[in-house]
Amino acid sequence: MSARALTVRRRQLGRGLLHLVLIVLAVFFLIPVVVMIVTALQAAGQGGGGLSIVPHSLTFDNFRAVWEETGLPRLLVNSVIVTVSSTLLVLFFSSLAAFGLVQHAFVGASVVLLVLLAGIMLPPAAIIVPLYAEIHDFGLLNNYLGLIGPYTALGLSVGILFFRNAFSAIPRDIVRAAKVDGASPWAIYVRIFLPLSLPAIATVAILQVLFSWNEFLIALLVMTKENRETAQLAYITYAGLYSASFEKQFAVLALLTIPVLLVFLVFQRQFVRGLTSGAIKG
Amino acid sequence: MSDDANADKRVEAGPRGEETRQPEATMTRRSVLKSAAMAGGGLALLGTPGSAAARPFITRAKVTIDYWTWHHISQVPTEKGRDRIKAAFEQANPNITLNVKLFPFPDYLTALKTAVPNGSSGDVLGLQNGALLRQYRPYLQTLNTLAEKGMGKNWQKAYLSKAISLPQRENNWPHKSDEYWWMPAEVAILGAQWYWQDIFQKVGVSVPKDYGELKEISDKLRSAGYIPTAWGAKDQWPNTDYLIVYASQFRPGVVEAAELGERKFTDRAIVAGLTFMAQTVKDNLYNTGPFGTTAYPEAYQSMFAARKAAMINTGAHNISLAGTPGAQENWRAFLFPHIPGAPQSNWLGKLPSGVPTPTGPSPSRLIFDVGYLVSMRKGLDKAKQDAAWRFIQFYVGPKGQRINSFWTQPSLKAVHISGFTNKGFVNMLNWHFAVAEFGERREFLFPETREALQTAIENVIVNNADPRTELAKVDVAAKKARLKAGGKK
Repeated sequence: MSARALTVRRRQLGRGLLHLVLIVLAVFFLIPVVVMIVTALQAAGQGGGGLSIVPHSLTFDNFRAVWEETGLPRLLVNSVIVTVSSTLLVLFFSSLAAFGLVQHAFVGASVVLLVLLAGIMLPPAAIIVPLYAEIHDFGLLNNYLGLIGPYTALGLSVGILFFRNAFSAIPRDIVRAAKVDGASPWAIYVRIFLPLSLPAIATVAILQVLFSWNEFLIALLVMTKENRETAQLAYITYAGLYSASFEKQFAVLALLTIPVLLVFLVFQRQFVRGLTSGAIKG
Repeated sequence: MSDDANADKRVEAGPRGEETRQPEATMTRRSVLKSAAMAGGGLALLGTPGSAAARPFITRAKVTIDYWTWHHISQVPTEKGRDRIKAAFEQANPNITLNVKLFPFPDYLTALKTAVPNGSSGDVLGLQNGALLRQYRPYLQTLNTLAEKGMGKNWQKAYLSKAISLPQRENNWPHKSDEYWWMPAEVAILGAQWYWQDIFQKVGVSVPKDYGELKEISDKLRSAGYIPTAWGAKDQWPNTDYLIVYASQFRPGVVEAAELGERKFTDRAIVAGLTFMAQTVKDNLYNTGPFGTTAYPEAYQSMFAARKAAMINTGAHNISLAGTPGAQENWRAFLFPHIPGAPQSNWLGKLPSGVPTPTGPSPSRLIFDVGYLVSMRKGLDKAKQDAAWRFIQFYVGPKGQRINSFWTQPSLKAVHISGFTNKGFVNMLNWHFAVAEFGERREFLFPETREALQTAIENVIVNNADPRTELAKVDVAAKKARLKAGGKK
């Protein structure tokens, strides 16, 4: 066998092994999803009333029940309001901040960036006490702004990081040419930077949608009135002290997964591009 | 307890009096006098001194109260929309809407930490006896006046005596106070030796009269293929329960006294209790590797409920397991029998030391805790305070406790665990309540003491450490905790 053929064989073997590892990992990550769907589809009490990976029965009753019993439509509307608002705000403010950092070099810009990025390291639970006090003092308990504000603030760091990387990759010549043509900074931002950063926009949007949609603790503490609760809080209904309805809990969770999955599928290509572009330019 | 429904009916009479007037009717002198008399009567009724129970409820407008808890047992997941407490309370109090906010327990602690100091928590809060209740004392309403008005001057007498005395002593420590900022909603009674009656019969053993007999029947049970007693020591909490049960034979109340600094953990009674505890492991009373076994689900469900173990040290708090097939017919209980070297005493009086079969004289005592209490947030306006109190009174009163008695142990003397049909099982459960009046305190005032004691127990049993040396370390931890809490020694 020639050296070239050997190299090709080795490459194929390496690729095969890589695929095997990836398949194993994919199965590993898919198991909880399968358990969720199978359990949600089984009639109450089937399979010992616990978690199941093998379907004992097939029914959509749990979905119907949780839809009515938890008032899920109302909760979903609340979640959509909060998620869409915070995502739009994060896109707007983080792209503007990144634009400022990239376009206007000033003394201490790196320190400002560092401070902004420090937010990535802050889990909501670590700041919950002062954050709650602030929301309370602003009179925003049981108010959409009580969630939109914190979600936006907590999403800014990641947004700025992605937009800064994307904006840094835009050739300076284009910006210079636009300036020569008399474009204002706003026009440069809107007509050049944003259209050239669609993958970053998609990435930040998906990450923010994921975060806002799935966030539990702040929503639990801020939205204490039933008509203001977000959809993530619905599963508590089925977690009793001495018993739990796993079938219905998983039906709630399966329903909540659908919108996020749709968002991801729509922006999947841009999301991957956004992540890889961030990785290379980082 | 006052009759809420009647009180409400009386309230309704006031405003509805106006509605019943006939607008078309001619205004005669007689009707004017009649109206004046009714109005005067109504005012007099409002001003009548005496118990508030006899007074009309002053809240006429619809009031919404928020009840925050992690422990809303009447909300059964499979019965959504049928929260029995909420339904019954709102039916009895049509002017009040009860908004139950249920939290997972770890998040509940965060919710309290954030919302209580800001005055934005629920109006009624569910709390645990001990550290949690003490921590929020400054933010909670003193309920003495409301309780006396609503439930009568000696309202405490309706409750198991320890359901009142225990939280009062613990939560005020190191001071003494007659203030109540909590009401006892349910209790936990443990420390009895539960057994499968039919397994005992099948193997041909009977309830032991002393520890020697317990060892003998354990050997026979093991030979017949059963684990004599299931013990889930890995979870740690059963271990302090066991020690309190054993030490109670040598000196009742000694563990509590040691924690409060009135005695030492190196007291002879505790040393003897811990030494005996280690001996029971050497005597092969339990499942293999108890310190590698969890209480739930292994010891309780997989061993005892699954009939692999013939006995378990538990109590009436474990009624959630009584749905096990054959449990009602066959689960019976006795107190842990007399330990060699422990003094003899007839603390039970005429009460049997087991149901249906007593164990011998001078057995261990049961252990007792007030598992769940409800409190009211300070600073509520008058209407909310009235409504919040109505809910507390309902919840800890006969109506609320009767509803909850399907799942938990009531703190009222007159209410018993419900939902079971087997007479023998019901008798056995009720026996726990009678014996619990002599019970030992279960929960520790300071988590530091409990953790130090759990470590000492594990070191003695697993690592063969010296009991006295290990217990001396507990004394150090307990003293530190007391000083931190404002105690003197």
